Amino acid sequence: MPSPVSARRVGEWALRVISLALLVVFLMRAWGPSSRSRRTENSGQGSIAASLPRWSIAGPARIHLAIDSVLPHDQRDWLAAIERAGTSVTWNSARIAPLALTVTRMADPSGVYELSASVPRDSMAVVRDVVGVLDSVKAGSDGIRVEVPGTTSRTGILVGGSRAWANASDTTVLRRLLVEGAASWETKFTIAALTERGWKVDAVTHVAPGVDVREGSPALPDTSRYAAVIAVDSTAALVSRGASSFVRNGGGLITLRDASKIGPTGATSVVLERRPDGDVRASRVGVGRVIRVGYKDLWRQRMSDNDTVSDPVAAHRAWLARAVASVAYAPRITVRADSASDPAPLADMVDRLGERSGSPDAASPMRSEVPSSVLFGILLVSLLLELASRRLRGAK
Amino acid sequence: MTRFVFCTGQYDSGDWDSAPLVPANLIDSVAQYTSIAVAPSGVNVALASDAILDYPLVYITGHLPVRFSSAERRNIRKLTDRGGMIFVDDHNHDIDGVFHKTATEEITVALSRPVDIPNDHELYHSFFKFADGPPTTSQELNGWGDNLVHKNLQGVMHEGHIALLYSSKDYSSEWNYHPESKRFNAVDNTKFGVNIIVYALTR
Repeated sequence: MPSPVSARRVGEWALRVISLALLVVFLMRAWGPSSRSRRTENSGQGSIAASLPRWSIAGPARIHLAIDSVLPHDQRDWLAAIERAGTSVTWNSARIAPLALTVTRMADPSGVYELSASVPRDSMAVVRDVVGVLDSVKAGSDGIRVEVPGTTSRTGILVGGSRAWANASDTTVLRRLLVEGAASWETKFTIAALTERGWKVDAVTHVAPGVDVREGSPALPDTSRYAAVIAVDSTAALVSRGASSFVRNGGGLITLRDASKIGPTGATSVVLERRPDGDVRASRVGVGRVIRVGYKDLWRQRMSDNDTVSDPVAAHRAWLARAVASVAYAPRITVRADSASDPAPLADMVDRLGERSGSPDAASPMRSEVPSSVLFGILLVSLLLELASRRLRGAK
Repeated sequence: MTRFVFCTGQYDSGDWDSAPLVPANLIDSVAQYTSIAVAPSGVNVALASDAILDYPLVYITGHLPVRFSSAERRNIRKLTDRGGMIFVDDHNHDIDGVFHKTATEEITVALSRPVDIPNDHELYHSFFKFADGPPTTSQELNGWGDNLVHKNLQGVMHEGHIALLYSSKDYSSEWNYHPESKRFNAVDNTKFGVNIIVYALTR
């Protein structure tokens, strides 16, 4: 069994070793990468912009951001650069919704764009352009799909704390339309609606055997001349002659109720709309598309009053324009993306800064460091204990 | 295919049904000369009723003073704004007669003042060719009424086409006979009526 004196000496040696180890730690901290890197910076949304220059110089060990909305593009870039320089950047937010946006130029001479956004179901989205708010829309199960006027191609959407902006990445080459049918209100108002919408229309209206009213220069359907052809009824012989090859080469065909036998139909079709008097079906044939409209007397949409429609003429025009836009052959020309586009802000932030994390401590897997003041206290105590022990046993 | 239905507009004032045989006569001519799908009989629809909007071509005639109600005026505006056409014929053939004065006033209030339609307008060659403009009527030629041969029809234009066609030539008297009696005419005098219908359906 060791004597009390030898046990005390072991304890003194232990205290000396601890003191020496602590001195080594202090030395390492002094000669280490930086004493400043031991700090964690916490920041709210409002102070990030002001703090970025300081963080760039100080290079803290960790930055944790508590934010209400997705950071602007430039701040994301800046923080990503700071992170690449060795600082751990984490963030957290309860409000930011996932959001992704695309803007596509429709095949429509009125210059309408289609905005499609993936957003959480039932969330309210505010649609805007650079001028101001355009509309607010409640998201369905498949997100949001709205038409926006073509005053500017830059369109944004705001959901919760996320704000996305996108530019149409392409533009379309629009060719003419061919409309053919017997002299009837359906033929007349189909031509009128599409012309009013801005389409250049070649039309053939059959009035009597050998007597046609022709507008433009109607010709056999060909994708070099026509974006889409519309057969109003079974008298559409010109459309009927060229429809198959036209559609297989990429052209669009629309047949109204009385022209259901004209042109090819795809093996499978999908119902786009349904009403008591019929439905609207779309199918693909070759690289072209076919829409078969089963509704009776579309022209009555334009003439008759309807409690739910404030402008029936515009509604009829828009309905036909949508149908045409969905089948029209419209070669696209890619345009350079605008640097201000930010179509998926949350995804971009996650890509640059990582997933959101719950709290600074939980967020960071970094080992915790004992503050220098605590270590210095331990060093003092161990030295005093070692000194006191030696003096009490009479050693120098 | 939905057939063309000839519609006569009923208005509250005056005698809207003064030429009851005109619709049947024009329907007969359209069926005879064209391939247009036409209903075998016409309809009479109140101008004040929303149902009038189901008939984009409306024929209005009469002898007596015309005063449209606000509902009738509203529907005339709606019909023409949406691309329909109204054909108004003075059954009096009386240029200063009560129908002409009051109908012109009402048209001016509802739409705008009718102006002369040039005699080379496409209305005159929309189906049959009328090189000299509107065909004369026997009422004009025999000096009945105002003793004038009206050189032009008048109209109110809307986006490049005739929204309202106004006639002082009294086609209502000219065409107001049974279709079977056409065989007694050397020239079918309803051909211009076919032009009006074809124009309305194709322009």
